[in-house]
Amino acid sequence: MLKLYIKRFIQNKFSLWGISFIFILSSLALFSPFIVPYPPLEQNLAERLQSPSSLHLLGTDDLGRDLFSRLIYGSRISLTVGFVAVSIATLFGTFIGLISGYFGKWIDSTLMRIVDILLCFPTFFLILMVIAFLEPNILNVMIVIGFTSWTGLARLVRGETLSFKEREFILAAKSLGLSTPKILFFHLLPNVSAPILVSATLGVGNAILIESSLSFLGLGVQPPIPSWGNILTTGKDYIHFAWWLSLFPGLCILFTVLAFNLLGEGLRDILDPRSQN
Amino acid sequence: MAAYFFKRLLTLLPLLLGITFLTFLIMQLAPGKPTDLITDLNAKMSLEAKQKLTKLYGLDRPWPIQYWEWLKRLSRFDFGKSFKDDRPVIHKILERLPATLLLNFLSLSLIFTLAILIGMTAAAKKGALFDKLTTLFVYLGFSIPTFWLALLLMILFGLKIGLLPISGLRSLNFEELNLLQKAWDMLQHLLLPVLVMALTGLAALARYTRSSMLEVLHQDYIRTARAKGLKEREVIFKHAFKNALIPIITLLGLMLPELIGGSFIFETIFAYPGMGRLGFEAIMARDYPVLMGIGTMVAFLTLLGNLLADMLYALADPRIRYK
Repeated sequence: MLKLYIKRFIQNKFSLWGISFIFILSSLALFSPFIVPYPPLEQNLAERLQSPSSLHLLGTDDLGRDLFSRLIYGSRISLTVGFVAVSIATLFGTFIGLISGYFGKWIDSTLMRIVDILLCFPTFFLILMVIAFLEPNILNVMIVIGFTSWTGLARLVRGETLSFKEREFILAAKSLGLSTPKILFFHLLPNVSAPILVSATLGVGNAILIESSLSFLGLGVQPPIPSWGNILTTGKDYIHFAWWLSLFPGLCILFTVLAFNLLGEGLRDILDPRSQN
Repeated sequence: MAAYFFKRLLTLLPLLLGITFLTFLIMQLAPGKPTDLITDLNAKMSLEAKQKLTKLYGLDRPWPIQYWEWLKRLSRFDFGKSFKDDRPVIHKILERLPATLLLNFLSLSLIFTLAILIGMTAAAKKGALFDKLTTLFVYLGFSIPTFWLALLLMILFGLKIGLLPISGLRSLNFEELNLLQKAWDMLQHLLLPVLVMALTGLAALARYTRSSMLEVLHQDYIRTARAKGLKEREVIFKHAFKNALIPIITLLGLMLPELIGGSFIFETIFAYPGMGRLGFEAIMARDYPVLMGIGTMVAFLTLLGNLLADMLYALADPRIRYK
């Protein structure tokens, strides 16, 4: 089975591109101190707002900081926020979905009404409100994104759980006297793991997009820590003179989110039982 | 149909309550008080004066009571007064609401006409160049940071080419224009915000239409339609489209919250005089009554959209009404 998946993964060009990009980006983020030509916070007012050149590959910002170095460091923020926020959302959403689907009755109806309410509410407005009341920093951003993006997954897992819980292997596990947590986490969970994996991969891209929007509006990662979103805020301020400050951070976000989306869609094709032949 | 309508309406009421409660809860859990903004700026303010101010806004009572009071006032459409300028919240919202509704309505119309056209064509020509380009467009639409796209379009059309205005809804000389010129002026201002706002929804719906169409095209009744010699155009538009439309309508209700959520960021970027920007400013100023008012309005609009989608759904598929 695993062999089949690996074979399909290699055949699937999109997901290969996606994962290669993610691998390269993660390495850049991990080894940023050894790669960047300038420290990302080092100001050099003599060289402010310089256009891309051999000295400064992607130009400099309003304080003379090297844009290339700042973008490399920015990848750390984006990837961290993406992974942590998605981990929170996935753990929470999976747990709620399993409980709701398995126990049914009032537990299910209560939890699903809460999900309905959250789905009705514009997520971005919710995030904006919460962040505005808390202190805007990277930790709060991750927590808020995580706890506002679990609803879709909870519904998905609930649906899958409902379809599995009357199947023979679950009934057999029950009649053998297995405890409920064991049934939930060792027998049900493995069977719903494929859609969870796909949803988590797509979720990373989405979380990165939300973080950059928040940082762009000044409600996310705060300067001087470089994040792709808050570099774009500077880009907006210098929109008349410094196009590179607007162009390159956006491209970083675009390609990173694209990579996660390609990988997620690729995984969906690979893991979908309906396409197995 | 009327019975179905009222049944749906009743199920929406608890949702509306839940959403207002959620909005209220978030604001109560937040540290600090809105009166801090007024008192911090004024060092001379005595403790007594601070307490008076807190009492004036009813912030000294426990929050369940505050919520109950707020609900009572809501039933009279009284959202209280803005902390910032003491004007009634309902006036502030109502003067901004039409601009936001216009923006959302135009975006939604654009999404639906274009997405259905693109999705259907792509499905009809599966594997052809157009289909591949559609896939590319869908991926880009999902991955592009839309606020960045807004920025690029502002640079391109506003600054480099100078073709379109990049902020607001009206030009400075708006009052001097005649009716036709006024409409043209507003259209120019709306073009970029509408395009940017529609993009993500357009990508989502085009993709959804495509897969929904592909599924329908495999059905037996399509084969029958073809077998009896109908033209391909008739098969696609008359037989397949009607059936593919049903799941597409469902997506309408789901897309609305995202679209309205987008208002907050795009209205801020384009300095558009709508409710979204009012909301963003209220967030920054911790203007609780305005925020609660906008939260309720947003929830109300979303639920209305859901109801509308339900109605269209029942209209398109008679089987639904009797379930």
